[in-house]
Amino acid sequence: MFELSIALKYLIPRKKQLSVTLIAGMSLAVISMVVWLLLVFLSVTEGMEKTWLGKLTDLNAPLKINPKQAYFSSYYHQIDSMSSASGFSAKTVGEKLLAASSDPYNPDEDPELPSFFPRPDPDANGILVDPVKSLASILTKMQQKKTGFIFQDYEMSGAMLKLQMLRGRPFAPFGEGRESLNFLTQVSYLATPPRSPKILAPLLAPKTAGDINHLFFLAGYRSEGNLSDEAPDIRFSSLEFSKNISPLLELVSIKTMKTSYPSFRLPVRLLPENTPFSAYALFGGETYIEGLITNSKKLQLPIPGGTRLEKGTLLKKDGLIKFSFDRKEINLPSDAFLTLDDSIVFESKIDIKSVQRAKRISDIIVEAEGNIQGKPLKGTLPWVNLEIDSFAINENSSVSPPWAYADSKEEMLLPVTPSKEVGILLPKGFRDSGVLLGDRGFLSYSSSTASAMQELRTPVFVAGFYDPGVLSVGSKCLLVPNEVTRSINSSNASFSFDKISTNGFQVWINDLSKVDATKKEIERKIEEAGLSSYWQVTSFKEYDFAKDLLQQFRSDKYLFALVGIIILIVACCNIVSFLILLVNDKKKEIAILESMGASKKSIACIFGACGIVIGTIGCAVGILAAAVTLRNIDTIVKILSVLQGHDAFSQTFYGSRLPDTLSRGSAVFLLIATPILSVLAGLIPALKACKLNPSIVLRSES
Amino acid sequence: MTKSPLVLEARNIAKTFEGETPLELFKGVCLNVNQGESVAILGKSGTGKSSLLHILGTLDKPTEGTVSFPLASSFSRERLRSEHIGFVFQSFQLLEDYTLLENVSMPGRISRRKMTQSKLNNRACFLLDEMGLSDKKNLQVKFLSGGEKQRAAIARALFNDPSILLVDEPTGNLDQANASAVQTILLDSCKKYGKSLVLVTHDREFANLCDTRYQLKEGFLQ
Repeated sequence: MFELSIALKYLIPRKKQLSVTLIAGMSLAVISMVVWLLLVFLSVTEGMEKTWLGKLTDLNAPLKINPKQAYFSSYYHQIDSMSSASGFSAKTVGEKLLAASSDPYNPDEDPELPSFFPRPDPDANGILVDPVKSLASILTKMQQKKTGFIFQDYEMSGAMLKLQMLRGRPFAPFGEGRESLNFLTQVSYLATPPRSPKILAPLLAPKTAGDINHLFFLAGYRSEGNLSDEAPDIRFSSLEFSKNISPLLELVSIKTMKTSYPSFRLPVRLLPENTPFSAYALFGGETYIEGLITNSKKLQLPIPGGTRLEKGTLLKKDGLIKFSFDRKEINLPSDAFLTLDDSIVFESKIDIKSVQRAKRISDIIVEAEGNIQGKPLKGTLPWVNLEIDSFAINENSSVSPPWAYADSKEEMLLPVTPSKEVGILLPKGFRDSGVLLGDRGFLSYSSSTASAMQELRTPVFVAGFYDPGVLSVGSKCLLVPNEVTRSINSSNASFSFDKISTNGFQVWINDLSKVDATKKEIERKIEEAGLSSYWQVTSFKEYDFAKDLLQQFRSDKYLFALVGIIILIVACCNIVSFLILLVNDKKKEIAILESMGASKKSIACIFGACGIVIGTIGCAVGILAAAVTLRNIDTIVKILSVLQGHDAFSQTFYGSRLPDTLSRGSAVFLLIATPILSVLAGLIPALKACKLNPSIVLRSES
Repeated sequence: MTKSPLVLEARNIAKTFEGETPLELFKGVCLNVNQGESVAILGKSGTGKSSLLHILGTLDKPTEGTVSFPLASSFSRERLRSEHIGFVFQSFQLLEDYTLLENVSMPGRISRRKMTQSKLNNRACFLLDEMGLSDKKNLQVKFLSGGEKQRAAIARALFNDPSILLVDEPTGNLDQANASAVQTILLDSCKKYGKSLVLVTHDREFANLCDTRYQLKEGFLQ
């Protein structure tokens, strides 16, 4: 196609057509920049939408199937309250799913049904319709056919959470009886955690060094007294320490430990032979009190009054430690300690033999390797004033961890201790209140008896923190095993819930864009099974608390697309000026080509092709730049944050990191829209080129 | 002896440039050119020789009258210029950013006759060889002399095997030696390939070499 080859020739930068080249370069740069900006913006926006939709649907599930009022007024539901086999109490959906019989009523043993009692709803074979098991069977079949389709029953309840926050006091070794105890009380909603690790695991907050240190701290403390809201017995028990510490060490491999500043004392025996260290010695008059060693140039510790600080050199030679200063020299005892004016990190390995004998944490020996002033330190240290700095979780350990974990059946489990404390997951906001992994407490709820209201308590401990995302109940929702919710629901008199929305099935799917199709499919299957009077299916788009957010996302998307198109049109308008200049520059060539038989259409095509090529190259460069930007978005955000002096993007809204995936839809849209707009922009110059009279041009140019 | 077929027929051509004071260049111009015939149009500068040639070559429209090409199957002006007419201009009008080979083969690339790149190159090489320029085919035209440029322009005009060459002062920008070489090449090529020729010139000697001569004077072709 000769038009394209001519167009490409015109676009090659040349010195003699500098102005055209410059304008072409500018057009290209403007289009690239606009495409780059738009694509980065649209990608981040799309990523944000996905993140928020994820937050919205991870815990709430994109689809919920709840019983309708007809379910609760049915014979199937009400019969449990008339049957001894069901303990004369109505069952939740989850309990119905596990129930041995759809109809537990035994006319010989159970009381006679009143005349107004609902009639059973038989199927075609005269057997009582079991809406729960039938629905579960439909969902199981769908789960087998569709990848990513996961369902489970869920229940919600409410209780009062009271946590005991037992903490060691600074400067006191663990188990020395110098603990502090605080309480945290919170009225909470209780919900079922997703059983699939695919859904729950990404929501769990990673365990911090603080969490692991706390678990080691708690290892020796007796758990009795959990249920007390007075100051409970929090005695340290050597017996429990040895029993608890070994499994913990099997689960956690400690990589590095950090010295507690300023309480850690460095034994001089860790210093290498014949290696001088810059150090300080504190004297009271002429008496040596204490040695100080530091990594930093300036001492941070305050110097006590009436003392004098001498700077000198510390050297270990033939086992003797000498501090020389001001032409003087003093010998330090081999078991002396130096105060560290800094915190240092040791690569650490626990001496297993010492663990077996240990009665408390300070009995454990740590093999430590580190350095100070760039010189190596090596030796053994007791676990005193040392904190775990970095660690790895041994995922293959046979020991059940004290945190939420996936079992061999790929199901998330919450741990239960031998003393029947139940592991619960708290929203990550609790961390800000100082709650740590392992903190113990109880859930309080009341039950009405014939004569009084009784308070019941379920012992719990913190088995992890999760990201609540967008939850209808905000950051007050605890994830607890279904058994706990059920037992609270069956006896609860303190919290009243809408029973329709707090019990049912949750359904997760891989692709949220298929939520409407999946909803229709489930509804169709429910209809075919004759269960439509019992169940209603809602998608996340209909959740009351999500409607506004989703509507906002939709409006934002349309608005951004509109703004994007306008900016793109403005950018493409640059092409008009470039092409007009090019037409003026190439008048003679246009006339020559026409004299050789080139049609007006061909001439228009040449300039149209110039527009398309500029638009397409600009768009491709912009897309490439956007991909590079998104790949390095963390670095860019860091630079922006440094320049602004504060976080460039709020973590609360944008999450821990900005989305970095290129929006394919937006890229394709820009790849199509830019050349089209470029062609449209090229129309005016193309028409101008067509209107040239070759005869006049050839005469005037000759 | 059988009469050669008519290649170009111009009837009552008139051209007036519109403006505040309309300028009538010529009127009632009638011209028939037969196959293989060479026609020279003489005239002083500004009499409208080039304008007449552009009208004959469909580059411009006459104010009155018609130009027809009885041998052509198409009435499209672009196709006529591509398939039946070859232009040679006084100032060569070659494409500066292209090589000689590309310039000569350009009419072939523009033409609707689909020719492969190798056929285009072969044809261009053949014509350049005829013009004695085969050793310079890969040079950009800006490196050629005036005589070479005009010979290249003749090769380009002949590329699509047109039935008529319309030549506007081909030697106007050349020295004597180059001018006579171009004259010879032009007339020999037309004879050799049986092309008709309409030559616009003020060079009476060159015009004398043509079969027929006309004078454009005071707006009439005599």
